[in-house]
Amino acid sequence: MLDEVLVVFFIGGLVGLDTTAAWQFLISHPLVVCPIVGLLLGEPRLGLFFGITFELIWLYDLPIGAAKFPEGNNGSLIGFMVAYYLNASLPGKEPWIILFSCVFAVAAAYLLGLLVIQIRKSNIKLANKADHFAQSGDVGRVEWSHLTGILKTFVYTATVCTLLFATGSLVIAQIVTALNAPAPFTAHQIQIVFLGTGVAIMFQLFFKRRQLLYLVVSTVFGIIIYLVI
Amino acid sequence: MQRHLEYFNAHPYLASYVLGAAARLEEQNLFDQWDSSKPIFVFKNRLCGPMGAIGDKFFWGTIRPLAALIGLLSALLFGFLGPVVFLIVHNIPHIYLRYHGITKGYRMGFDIVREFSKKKFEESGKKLRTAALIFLGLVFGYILISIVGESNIMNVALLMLSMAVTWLFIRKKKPIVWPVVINLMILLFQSYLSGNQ
Repeated sequence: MLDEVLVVFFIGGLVGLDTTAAWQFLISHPLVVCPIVGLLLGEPRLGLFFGITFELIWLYDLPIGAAKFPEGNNGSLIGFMVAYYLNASLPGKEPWIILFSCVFAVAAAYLLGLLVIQIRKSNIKLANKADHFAQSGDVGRVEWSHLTGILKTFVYTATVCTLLFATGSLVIAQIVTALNAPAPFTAHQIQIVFLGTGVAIMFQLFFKRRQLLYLVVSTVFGIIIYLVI
Repeated sequence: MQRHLEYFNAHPYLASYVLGAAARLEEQNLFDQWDSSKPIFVFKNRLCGPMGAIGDKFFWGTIRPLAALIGLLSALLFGFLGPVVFLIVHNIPHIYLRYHGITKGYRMGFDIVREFSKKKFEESGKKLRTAALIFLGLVFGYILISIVGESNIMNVALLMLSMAVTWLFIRKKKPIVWPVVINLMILLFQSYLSGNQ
């Protein structure tokens, strides 16, 4: 488990930085981070599965201004890591593991959303300190405050992600072990549920009745692409 | 230096325009010996809000979902090409605006305000939203036919039900966790029923 903990700590911290504190190149999105980590761990199929499953649903809450939003990027990463770890240690229970990992990913996203608020509060204190240093012309300490804010975001996010991963793995392992019946559903069906949810979110975001024709024509083209490729 | 350590909160990608323009104004202040440097502070302060509002709507509300849809379609079609396509589609305008913002802001100084007419961004935003709708149609068509191709009517019903339930919840501005939980419960219920048949 130590390998997985280290991966969650470092990648979780980096994802936290890219989501809010620095860069914002969007390498933190589930569609990017889950397949890359999956590839690194030798489970590319599972990584891509989680990336595709979770990419659209987090676009419902836009990170505008001081809005509160579930931190879905790290939530998805934790869900994937729990599924990866448990699939290896509890073979033959994949659909159950995927189901509970996905549910846990959503719960973790909301908990991490609360952490983002706490980090913001902590950063406000740092900004006030930086303001004080700025008024006294101490540029070095202003830079120090800025770097401290970034480091704090990394450490807090990485630590909470690791704790959530450990908790999720332990709890889900207990539940899945207790479930003796084979799952009556497949992992693919879980993905269908999340994709349906995501597509509906996108409809709400972009669909206008007067653009119905665009939608119909492009849907037909989507069908043709599938049939041709 | 002290002037530029004041509170400034705009969209990170568009802040480069203000950075370039502020550098130009500081230079003018130095060479032309202005009576007061207050206009620089006022300029930055006034641009803060509009930059945030335009950037959030344009990038987070339009380009990011568009890139996600294109990336998702590529991932469904070609697997690992999806993440690459997503990063390229999002980061080309992102990096371009970060670089272009500094140079253009520096060139235009105060006049950079004209670059940020709401109309200008709304027009390109409209085109991008139409493009996003087209990609949404492509993604939806692809997913729908791939599920229909599995010859399992229950999966088609599952997709449609998930969409309908989500649509109902988000129309009422409910958090996304509600449709997710209810859709998963529908999956369990449906699986239980079909398992008992």
